[in-house]
Amino acid sequence: MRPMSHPWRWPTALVILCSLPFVLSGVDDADSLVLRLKDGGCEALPVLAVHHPDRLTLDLMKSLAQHEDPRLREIVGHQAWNPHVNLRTQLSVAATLEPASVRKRAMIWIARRTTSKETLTAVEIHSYWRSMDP
Amino acid sequence: MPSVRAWIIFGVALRAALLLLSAPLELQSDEAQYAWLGLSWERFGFLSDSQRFLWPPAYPFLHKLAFQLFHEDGVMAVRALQVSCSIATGWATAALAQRFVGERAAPIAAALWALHLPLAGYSALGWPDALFLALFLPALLLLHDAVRDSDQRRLILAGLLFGLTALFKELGLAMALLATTWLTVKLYRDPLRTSIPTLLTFALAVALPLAPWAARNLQHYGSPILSGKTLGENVYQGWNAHDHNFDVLPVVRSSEVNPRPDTNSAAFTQVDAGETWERPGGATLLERNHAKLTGGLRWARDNPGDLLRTRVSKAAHMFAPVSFPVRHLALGHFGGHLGRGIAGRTFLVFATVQSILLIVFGAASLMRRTPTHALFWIPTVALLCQPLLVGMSRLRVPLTPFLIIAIAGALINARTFRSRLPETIAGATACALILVDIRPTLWLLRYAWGLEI
Repeated sequence: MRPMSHPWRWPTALVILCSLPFVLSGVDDADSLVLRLKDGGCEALPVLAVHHPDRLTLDLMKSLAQHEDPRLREIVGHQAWNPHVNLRTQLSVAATLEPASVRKRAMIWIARRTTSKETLTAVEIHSYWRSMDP
Repeated sequence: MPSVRAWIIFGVALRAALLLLSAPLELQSDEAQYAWLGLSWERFGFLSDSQRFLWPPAYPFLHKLAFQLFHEDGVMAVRALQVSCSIATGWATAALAQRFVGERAAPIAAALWALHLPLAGYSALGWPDALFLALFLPALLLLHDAVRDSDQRRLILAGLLFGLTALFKELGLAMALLATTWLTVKLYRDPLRTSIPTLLTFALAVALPLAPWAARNLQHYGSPILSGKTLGENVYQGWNAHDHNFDVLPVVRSSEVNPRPDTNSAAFTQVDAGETWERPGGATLLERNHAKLTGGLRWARDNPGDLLRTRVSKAAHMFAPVSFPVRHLALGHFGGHLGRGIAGRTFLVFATVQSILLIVFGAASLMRRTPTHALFWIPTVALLCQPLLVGMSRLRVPLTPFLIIAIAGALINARTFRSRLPETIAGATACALILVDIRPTLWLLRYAWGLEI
């Protein structure tokens, strides 16, 4: 390659840019994550599942099932709860969800988990989308 | 001979026509999982792993974005994007043929790319391979030109594109590592004060698109996963006594043909099914991945003969003259005109014949060694090695442009005198591999045709 006038300029700039996401990231403690989840921050759920699986309790699931935000009620059916909460328990909590449209959407997540034999169909995507709150 | 541009326009039009003729489309296995991940991401704001593995994020992200922009038509929007991006694949295939073989090879490569139905059909399917190719081939081209012209900006752009490919498929990360190794060798004789910053510039450009994802994974999993975590699941599928033929098995299952047809590969590839190991559990993705790696290594160590025999069947799966578009046809997943009648059968016949021609002539053309550049051979050999792990016809997709370039090279040098023996042996080996899987292949083709009910 042809010699450059400032050969270290690009590597230096790229090292700084590559480091930024690592500098800015960090894991919150369990209480903050649970609080964030209850405040609507669904992205706290998979972090809890890896770092604090003991906090993914049936009580937490039941409290979310009663939450005023339909999205948080629906996340009761997400596979991120497994295997910390077993499928049978998850199904029983999801069966209590109200209204019926939220219950139906939560059931889609349970029935079409990425490990399920039956996978998501085009028709289910359409009906899921149309049943969502505006 | 029409120009490269004309062939690219024709190729994109053909892909658009295939998409329109196949719609409405049903989702199959991974396609449904990608849609699931995108829908879940859109709804809950995070990308979930698939429990058994973690896919790179770009393809689920495109689904998420498409759902946000096009609502329930998001899946079709992603496929329309794939058709549009095939311009880059066609252009880069022709440009690489021009660089690796010569000016005359470019329009031939463009024509073969445009007309190859199994490759064109993937633009209408929900796997990231079409978009991966649209990034990977230009990345390779930019790397070639950057080194040839000592162009730092193109080198950075090549690195960024390689990084992006790894966000679509883990294969992209392997290719980026191989490209970095090649560059290291290439710069070996240069003075250290220039070679080290140049090498670092490329490697860091590769790392830049991966950094936010790796930082996120460090937070989520406690490990800075750069691309995906699928090796364990692939080892479970590939280094095991069971042999899942992913081209045929879903069709056999959905057909509910009774008694179940024998769709095994040739008898000499069969292994002791009693040695099959079950998929292990584990609390986290990383634990499950590690347990599967351990299980696979144990099986390989205890059954070296079976490991070798299954490599033959995996290679046969990869080089069977079928494709996932043909599997979709057999499954009845093409709801439009392509899924039935004369259009479906025409597609089936042409796709099968083209697959056979590509496999046999591609193998023979590689032995002609018209392209000599290392940047042609490194990805080609790496892609040919995929059956060391798993085997299915989809693994041929990233290899197809390289076989096309090799065939284009052989065609323009057809009259050059050289011993034909290596070409004959390679072609015969490809035919033998096709014969290893002839039973499942014929069953699938007959079923797709409508004869097997």
